[in-house]
Amino acid sequence: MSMDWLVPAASLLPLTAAFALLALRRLTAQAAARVGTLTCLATLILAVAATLITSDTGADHLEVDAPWVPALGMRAHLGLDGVSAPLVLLTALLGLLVCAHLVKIRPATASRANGRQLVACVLAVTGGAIATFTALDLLLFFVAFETVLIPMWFVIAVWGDDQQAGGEATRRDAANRFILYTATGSAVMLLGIILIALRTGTTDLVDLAQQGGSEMSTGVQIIAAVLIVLGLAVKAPMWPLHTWLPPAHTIAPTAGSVLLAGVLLKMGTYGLVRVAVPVLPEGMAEIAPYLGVFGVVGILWGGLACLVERDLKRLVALSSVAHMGFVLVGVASMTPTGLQGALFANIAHGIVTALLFFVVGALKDRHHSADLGVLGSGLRDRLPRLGWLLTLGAVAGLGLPGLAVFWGELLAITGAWESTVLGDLARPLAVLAAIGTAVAAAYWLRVLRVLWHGPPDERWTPSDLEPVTIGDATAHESITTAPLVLATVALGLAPGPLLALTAPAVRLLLGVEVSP
Amino acid sequence: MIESAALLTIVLPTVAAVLGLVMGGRSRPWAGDWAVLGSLGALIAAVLELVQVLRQAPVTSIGFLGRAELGTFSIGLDLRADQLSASIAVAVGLVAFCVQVYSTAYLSGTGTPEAPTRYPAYAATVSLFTAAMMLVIHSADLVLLLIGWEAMGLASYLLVGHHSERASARAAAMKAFLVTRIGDLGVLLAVVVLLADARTTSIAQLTAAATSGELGHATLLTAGLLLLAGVAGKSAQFPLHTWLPDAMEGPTPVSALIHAATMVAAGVFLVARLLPLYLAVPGALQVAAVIAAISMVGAALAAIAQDDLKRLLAYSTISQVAYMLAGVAVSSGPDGSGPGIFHLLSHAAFKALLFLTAGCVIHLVGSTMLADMGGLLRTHRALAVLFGIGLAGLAGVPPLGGFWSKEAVLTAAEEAAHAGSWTGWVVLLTGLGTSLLTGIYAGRAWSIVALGSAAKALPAHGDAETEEPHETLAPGQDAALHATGPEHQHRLPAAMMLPLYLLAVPTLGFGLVLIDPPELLGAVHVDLVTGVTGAMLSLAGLGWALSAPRLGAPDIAIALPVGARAMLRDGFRVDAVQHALIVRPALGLARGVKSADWGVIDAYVRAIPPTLRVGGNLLRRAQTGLATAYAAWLVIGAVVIAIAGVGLS
Repeated sequence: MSMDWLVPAASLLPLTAAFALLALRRLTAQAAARVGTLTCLATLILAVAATLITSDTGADHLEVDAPWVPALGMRAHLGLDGVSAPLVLLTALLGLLVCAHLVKIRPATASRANGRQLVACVLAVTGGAIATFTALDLLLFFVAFETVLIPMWFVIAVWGDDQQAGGEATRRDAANRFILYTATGSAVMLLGIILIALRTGTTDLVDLAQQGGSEMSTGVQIIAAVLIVLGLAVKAPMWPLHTWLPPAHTIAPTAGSVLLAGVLLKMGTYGLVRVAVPVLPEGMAEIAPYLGVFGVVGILWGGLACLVERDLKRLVALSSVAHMGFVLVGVASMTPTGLQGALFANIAHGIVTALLFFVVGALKDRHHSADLGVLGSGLRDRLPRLGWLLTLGAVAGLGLPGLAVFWGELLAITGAWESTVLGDLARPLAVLAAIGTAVAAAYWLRVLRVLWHGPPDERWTPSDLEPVTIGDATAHESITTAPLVLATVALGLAPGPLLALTAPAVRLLLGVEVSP
Repeated sequence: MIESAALLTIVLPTVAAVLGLVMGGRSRPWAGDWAVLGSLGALIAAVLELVQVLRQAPVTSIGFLGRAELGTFSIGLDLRADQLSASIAVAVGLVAFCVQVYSTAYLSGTGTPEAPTRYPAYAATVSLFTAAMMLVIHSADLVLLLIGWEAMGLASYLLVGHHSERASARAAAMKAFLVTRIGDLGVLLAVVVLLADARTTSIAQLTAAATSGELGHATLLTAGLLLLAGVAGKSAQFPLHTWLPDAMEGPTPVSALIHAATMVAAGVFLVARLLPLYLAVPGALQVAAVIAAISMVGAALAAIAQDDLKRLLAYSTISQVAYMLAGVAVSSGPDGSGPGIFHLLSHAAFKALLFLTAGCVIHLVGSTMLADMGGLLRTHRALAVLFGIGLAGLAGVPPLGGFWSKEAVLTAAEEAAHAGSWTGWVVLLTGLGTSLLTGIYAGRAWSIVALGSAAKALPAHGDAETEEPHETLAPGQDAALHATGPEHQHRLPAAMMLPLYLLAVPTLGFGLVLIDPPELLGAVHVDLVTGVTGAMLSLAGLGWALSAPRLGAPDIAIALPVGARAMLRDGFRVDAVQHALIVRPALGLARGVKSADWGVIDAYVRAIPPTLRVGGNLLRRAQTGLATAYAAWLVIGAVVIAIAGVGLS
């Protein structure tokens, strides 16, 4: 029996549930979150089944191809391969954890907006992201890519933090920045897509990858590559197009931050691997040095900014700029090792940053601020479970070997070192990227020194006058973060399965063979 | 059998760490037993492994974490077991076991709210530390080795900062991790170079390719030098040694662990493991020898002027590890790592003994400062004798293990020197000079701690003390001391004394190994002239320092000029140089980046809405609503198009 239906089902299920939740006005927020949890669990099961089939059959991946808008030649062409499967799994997992998180914890916002609608937005983002990761038609990819933006805007603008300085206006500014930045990027990308469609007469990604740019002159490829990479780079985000990210991540509720960092950023880098590298190889080779330089600047820039950042949530957001810099360097190397690194770093960053946002969100809920000075010292004694979770996230974030992030960084740096398209820049970029890992160590240890270490802050410890104190991670919080902890350790100690899943797809994208 | 023994040395401490953390949350009385059992299991597995590999051939590939596909090629995250890994594993297992037993008493109880002992987390981290070191020595692949290498760095960070309520401990922990991390960038980049050029990180394949000349000289030299950066960081060699003296902020048993068999030994081990690769590029070995020579003398000089017993021992570690590194660096053949490894093993015994006895002394006195100690021989004879055995091993007094291993290194240097190697001369001369210095500071420690008169009567602990926080007893120890009550302060718990006797055995008798040396130590021998010269020098130093009390001053360091003494005590102020060259520029750059992020990059973004508004206002001017104005625009447009058309055609 053909199991091809699994692929569209994985994105249609959460999308349908999202609309259903909007229609069911009677549902309480908690019941809605439970429905969302079940939906995402079902999606995750579908995704796991589809991934198992894909890794079993190798290149013969699951695929659905049906006419959609015949007048435009658009087809609903969806498929799952080694590049998309890990991202679909990650999206389903994070959707599940976010919905489970919403069962008990609601954003502390003054807005009267219903939690049910928040769950609907989360499901819409999940479904849209899975559609983006499985789309094999350029226009469908674009549509799915855009679909995600609107629910995300609501999440930030409606359920965002209103205790920041500036309140409502700051929140709107963050949400508007997010949407205007990405919509502008998308418009540029659409021009690139149209250029490709006009020159090749097709928008099918499988056909385009097979042509490998043979239908387009180098000049056209360069123009198309610049347009598409610019559009995707906003989302990734690539330095210097990153200034939407810190406010959006900081203002968004925990649920929004996790999805932004874990899922939305990945759509940009996924697009680079899925569209730019195989469809426009010559164009990418020409602009790769710029992409590499911007990636490395992002690594160092983000890291240095984190060294002096005072808001913990903003710090995690800025560290994302650094982490995604490694992904960009890996893609820019255009080598199998670099792409393997980029894809691994994508997943690792999604897991580790999601963990960090959950922990920081829990700290923020308790202290009503994410400022390092307000949070205070002594977490290891005051809140041991949250303290250990923060420590694990921090040491994973600094790329400790044996935890997930390390492999992506190692392979991205290796790819940069041996890259031919980066030319003379290859080795300097690799060395600078490696220095970025030391900067990461410096800023994470600074956070641990201020928050985790030190005597318990007296403002938050119980006293005779004020017996009310702050509780450690609840069982609910521990359970929602446990899968991320396990994944961080498992991917770090046993990277084999994930690397084996992406390796054949990477070789196919770059048209290389296994070396003896 | 060998395979399972090697696996168990890693798995058992890991399991103990996980169980200790999971169970330890409720501070159960048997939480400690997990850690002790884990290290005992690792010790037994290591002994079994050693017995097996001495009888059979080494095993070069034991499946562990599977293969990792890196695109067009893959690497195997496997283990190996041979005489090198097994012998160090026994040393690691022994020291870890002693440290765990000792810690059950040293960090007993829960402490006070201001200064918790945090024993479960502590014991679990020590187990993790042990497992990480076992992984390093058993790795058959450099990437797998790097995992253990940095996991060890994490464990040392956690342990050095264990008493994190103290600001100095926080700073020391961060410094320990960051300084070693900077060295580890070298290891990371070396792995990158080897992955890119050799397409493998398997140690067996790399050494084979280096020996047969398949790998280019440039690749090997780059990788070799980069790895040396990591070695200098982990083994606390110049110029990345600055973290080690500060790391004394950790509980004393941790220092025994870090200084004896784990962490600092890892760097020397790495060079020994990759010796065939290094022999193909003598330039890298020469650099290693020079680094070792500088560290050897510099640290010994600094040790003479220390006011703090633990810092004195820390500098002695830097100096002794430099002997090991020098011993490996003067090798000329693939079996040349013998003397360095021999010294590593004998040092593991006497340094663990020294730190654990020092812990007992600190426990009794309530301070780490030499000025507060004295008269141990009168009050605690057994402890003083054990301390003396450790110091004699450190100084290389015949016939202790330390004598044979140090003289073996010097003999290897002398032979290299006669074979025409200039690094041989450098190592030989600095090694002999350091023998004298080692004798002096070992003798100084003995004369102050064991002989000198106590500045404070021993039971005086608990009286009004006015030391600065940095110098006072670690709070955990303080609490443990109070818990035992004042009448017991003179008696040390058995859990603290037994490990000392256990460690004294190899310290005294390790030289007996040379009667029938295994293949690993086959090249080890001691030249009569060199041996006698070295022993004379260290005995002269000892005698000089021991004669000081008779001349009226128990502390021979008083003989130094004040300025020189301060300079040596601060370790030649390398710290200040590093702070000025790296820390301050990095922070300045960070502040610059933060303001540029808002003031430059984001300024363009924020400029867009006002620009659009101004542009819109300007364009709106054209929409006047007057038909004549529109007609005028029409005519102007038509003319422009006409002219453009004519011009273009």
